[in-house]
Amino acid sequence: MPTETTTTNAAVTSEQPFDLAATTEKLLRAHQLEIWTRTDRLFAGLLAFEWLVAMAMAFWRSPYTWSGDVSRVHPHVWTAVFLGAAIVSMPLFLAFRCAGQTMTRHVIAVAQMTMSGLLIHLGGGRIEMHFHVFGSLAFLAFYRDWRVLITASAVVAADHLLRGIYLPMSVYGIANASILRTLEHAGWVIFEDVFLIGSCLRAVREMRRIAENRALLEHSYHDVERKVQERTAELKNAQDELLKAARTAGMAEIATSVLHNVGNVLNSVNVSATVVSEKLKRSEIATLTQVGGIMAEHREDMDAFLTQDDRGKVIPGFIVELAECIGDEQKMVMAEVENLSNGIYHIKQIVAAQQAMAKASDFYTMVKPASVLDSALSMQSAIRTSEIEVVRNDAPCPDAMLDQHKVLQILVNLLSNARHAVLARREGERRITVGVSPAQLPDGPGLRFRVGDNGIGIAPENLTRIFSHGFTTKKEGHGFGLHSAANAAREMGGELSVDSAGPGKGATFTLDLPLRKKVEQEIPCKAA
Amino acid sequence: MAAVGIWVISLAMGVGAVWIYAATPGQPATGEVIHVDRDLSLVPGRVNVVMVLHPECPCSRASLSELERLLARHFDQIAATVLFIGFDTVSSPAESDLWKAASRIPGVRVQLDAAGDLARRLGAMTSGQVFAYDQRGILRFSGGITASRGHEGWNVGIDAIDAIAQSQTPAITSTDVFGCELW
Repeated sequence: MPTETTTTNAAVTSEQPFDLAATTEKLLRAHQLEIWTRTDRLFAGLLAFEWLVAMAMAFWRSPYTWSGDVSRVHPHVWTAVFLGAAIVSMPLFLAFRCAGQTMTRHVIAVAQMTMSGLLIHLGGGRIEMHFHVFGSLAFLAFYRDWRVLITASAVVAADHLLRGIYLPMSVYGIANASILRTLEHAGWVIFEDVFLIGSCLRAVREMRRIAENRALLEHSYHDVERKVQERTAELKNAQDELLKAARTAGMAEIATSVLHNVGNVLNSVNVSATVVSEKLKRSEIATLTQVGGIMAEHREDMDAFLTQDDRGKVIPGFIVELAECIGDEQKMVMAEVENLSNGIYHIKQIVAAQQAMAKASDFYTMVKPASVLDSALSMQSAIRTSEIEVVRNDAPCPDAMLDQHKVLQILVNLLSNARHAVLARREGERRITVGVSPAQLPDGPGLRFRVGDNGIGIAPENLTRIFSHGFTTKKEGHGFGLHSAANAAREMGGELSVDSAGPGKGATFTLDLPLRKKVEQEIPCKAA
Repeated sequence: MAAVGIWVISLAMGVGAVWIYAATPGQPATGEVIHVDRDLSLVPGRVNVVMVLHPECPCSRASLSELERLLARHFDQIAATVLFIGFDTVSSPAESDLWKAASRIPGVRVQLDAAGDLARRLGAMTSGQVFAYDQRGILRFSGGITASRGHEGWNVGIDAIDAIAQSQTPAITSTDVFGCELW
């Protein structure tokens, strides 16, 4: 028994050279197999139904045959049951076990035409029942295989030929029918066959055209797919290269940012160190040394010197005043040393943050927002030495989960810029206004830090690019500070914005940060 | 392949048996030619066709269909009588499908032969037996008007009656009868 082993996936892989004829043939076979299988199943159902109809006809039209007043089951009943079963058994078996195979559809053709004969017989040979023959041929054309029609027609021809020879009365109504009667009957079948076979051949030609088009389409598809894969690989490589470049650039930017932030703090450290140095240079301790020298000269007559000598008489009071002065100096130096220490600590934190950032971690801790602002102000101690009025404008804020050092970097940056902006004013008072308050942000509750100044302001055309990398209006600026501050704000889910009425009218920077829920603290925000 | 071959042979044998059964005729009429005017009240001046039927014979449905076609062709020439035989143990012929079908054919006179006496005298042995008398009341044809058992379609019996209706000499005067046995 021949078998069709066509696969439905006749796709051409990119590794194989494209063979249009072979691919078309594969696709055509796959399509035909699908049609043959489907039609086999269709006929299996049809034959089963016809068998039921045959039995119903026999039971209804001729349940009994009679001999006088004695009846018995009519042979039509047995014929319908047993011959019907014999007719449908093989095609049903093959339709489910060997669907799509050549033998199956030829067996079905034989069965269908035999069923026609049975139904005609059970139907009393009525003309209308003969339509079943022609209808069956039309159904068999569903296979789009002209050979099946030949098989079916051969069954009809054989039936008429044999009955014409051996039982001519039963088919032609006369005892001596010529072969021409057989040809006449067969002629009508051939008449239909001519059209059906032509139709089958046309259908196969169309299927072949469809298969060819599909083969070309699939080839194009695979070609395009291969090209897409190549381009995707190229893009991936380019992306990798770009990522490397971006990473390098990013590292440079981060390094710049870190240096910038460290530079800001170093300004403060430098100021504190200068203050301490100046204080030490001008310290009254030198005077104390002079007093000590005088007293050493009068070690033998100390009592007389302190009570009778005019210079000795003032020394005790002078020492008391000197002690007070030295105490004040010490306090001032201690304060500056503390600033110095804070600055150094902040530098350490900036470096630590940078190192930690490389590991992609967040540093959220529960802090008081106002204290962060305090820290930023203390780090910008240069403000205090620049005769700038600092106005605090805080509103009560709850403790919040903040990346303290990132916020600190931003605020120090903003304060540094504000200081430069107000120092650039030639006249008038210099004022920086800072504050923090709760705020309702688009995504929920948050915090709002404001750093405003009455400095030189910002031109409207610069408002949109002031956060761009490399943009600066300062002579010695680099355009890194606000850019990195804005990036840091975005990293925290917040936003840094600026508002200015124009040149000479000051500016206000606003840092909006969302409030993190405490539970988020327990979950690592980013995987290491 | 062998199984398919056996299957084909089985089908051929089955179909052959069916056709042999269908082509096997019943017994032909054996009675004498009776005086039809006295027993059947034939219509004078017409070809009278008398068909004898078993009221329950399913094979005779085809004979009745052929009679109907015959009358359609020779409505003015043929007068038809369908004689139903009554059996004591079988339900009343008037309730049978064949009786009703015969009654619906225009120009057919349905007649009950209660004990089957008339049919016996006519010599009818098989349901579907037809007697055709010419305009002068002479029996010109005796036999069936189906080609096989219960099978409609043109046949030599019909051809013979056609000829009688056209006042021609039929090619044959008797044919096989296909139907249930009457006795």
